[in-house]
Amino acid sequence: MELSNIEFKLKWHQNIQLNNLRQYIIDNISKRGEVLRWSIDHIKIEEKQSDTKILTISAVIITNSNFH
Amino acid sequence: MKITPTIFLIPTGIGCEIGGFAGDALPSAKLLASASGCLITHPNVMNGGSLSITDERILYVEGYNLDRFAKGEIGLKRINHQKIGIIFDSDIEKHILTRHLQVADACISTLGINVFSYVITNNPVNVVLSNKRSGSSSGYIKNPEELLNSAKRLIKDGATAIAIVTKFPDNFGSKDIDLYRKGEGVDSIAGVEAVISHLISKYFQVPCAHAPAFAPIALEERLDPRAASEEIGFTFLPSVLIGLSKAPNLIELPSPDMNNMLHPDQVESIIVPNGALGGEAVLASIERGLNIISVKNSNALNVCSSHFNYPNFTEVDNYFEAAGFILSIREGISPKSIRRPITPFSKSKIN
Repeated sequence: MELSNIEFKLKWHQNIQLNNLRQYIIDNISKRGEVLRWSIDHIKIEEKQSDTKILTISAVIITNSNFH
Repeated sequence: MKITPTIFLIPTGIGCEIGGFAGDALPSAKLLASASGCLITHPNVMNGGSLSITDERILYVEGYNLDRFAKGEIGLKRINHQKIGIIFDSDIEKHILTRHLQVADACISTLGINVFSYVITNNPVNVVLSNKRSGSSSGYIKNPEELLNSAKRLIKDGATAIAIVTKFPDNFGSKDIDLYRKGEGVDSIAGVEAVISHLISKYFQVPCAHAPAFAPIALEERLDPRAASEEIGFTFLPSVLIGLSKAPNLIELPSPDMNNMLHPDQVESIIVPNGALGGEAVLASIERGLNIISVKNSNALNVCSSHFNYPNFTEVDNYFEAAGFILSIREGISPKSIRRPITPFSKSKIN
């Protein structure tokens, strides 16, 4: 089992409802490993007209886990 | 008077003006517990190194499980006492380990806490500290399975709650530590402490919390009062054992046994520092339609209520105001009746 810190940008498009944002983020972290801890650290509005926001996500993920 | 169960969060390692030091949000927690009658909060709020308290109105829940509670996955069951097992990192020097064992003796003999047993990891846990670009602290451990195997041994032996003590490097970030002790920086070890306790919470459904082990550091004459409770003893373990001693059991939902259990559906509000609204508990609380009370409490993050289109956000200037807001909910007084200006009812027509 290995733990690692990751940080990445994620576009939050208007078509993703606020109620679905948490799952959207978790799905994107899960592509990199099993989620242990995460948060949105920063939000930047990219285009005011389209209301697209850029999220900075930081997370600690687990990889190569076979602990039972 | 009815209670209004409320979650109180101050995320770990983000440099909050209140709650970014050594249990310095504990007085605010006591105030909010008094206002709500039932406050669910986490070790970063309650652990002040050598100092902490227990309060019948405060439920002490580690952050990973607090998120699960906010998501509606677990309930919290009050119990009389926990049987605490302690994991010690094998990298802790013998004289520092002795100090920690004496803390356990003190908690048993003076406070009546059931500190049950301990294990020493087979190999060092190896803590690695890092800072994120936001300025908040984080990190990881190189040997997570050492902690997991140790927790497994303790639980098999009968422990119902786990305290973890890991060795932190003696020479790390002395500049950061200096700033922190003077009240100017982010707690550089707090982020990885949360990672360690989250790891145990993820794999074992028991209450847990972490205390770091250090070699003694030199006296700081210009110590910020908010960091003082970490300077008055040899270890940070007392507050962890006090917090865990009456931490609630974690009940997977759905459960057939709902007696004496706080169900997540009973929670009406969550109190969080403004800027730190990007955590899982807040987003889950939005999904569940809770009141989000965002308190001015400066920190390293910028995730504010203005970024979300959510009608149940309330911004307040301080924890006094947050307590008043919670008390008005508890008493059934509409907060909008107390605020000024009041919007004329004629503007409330639904089209």
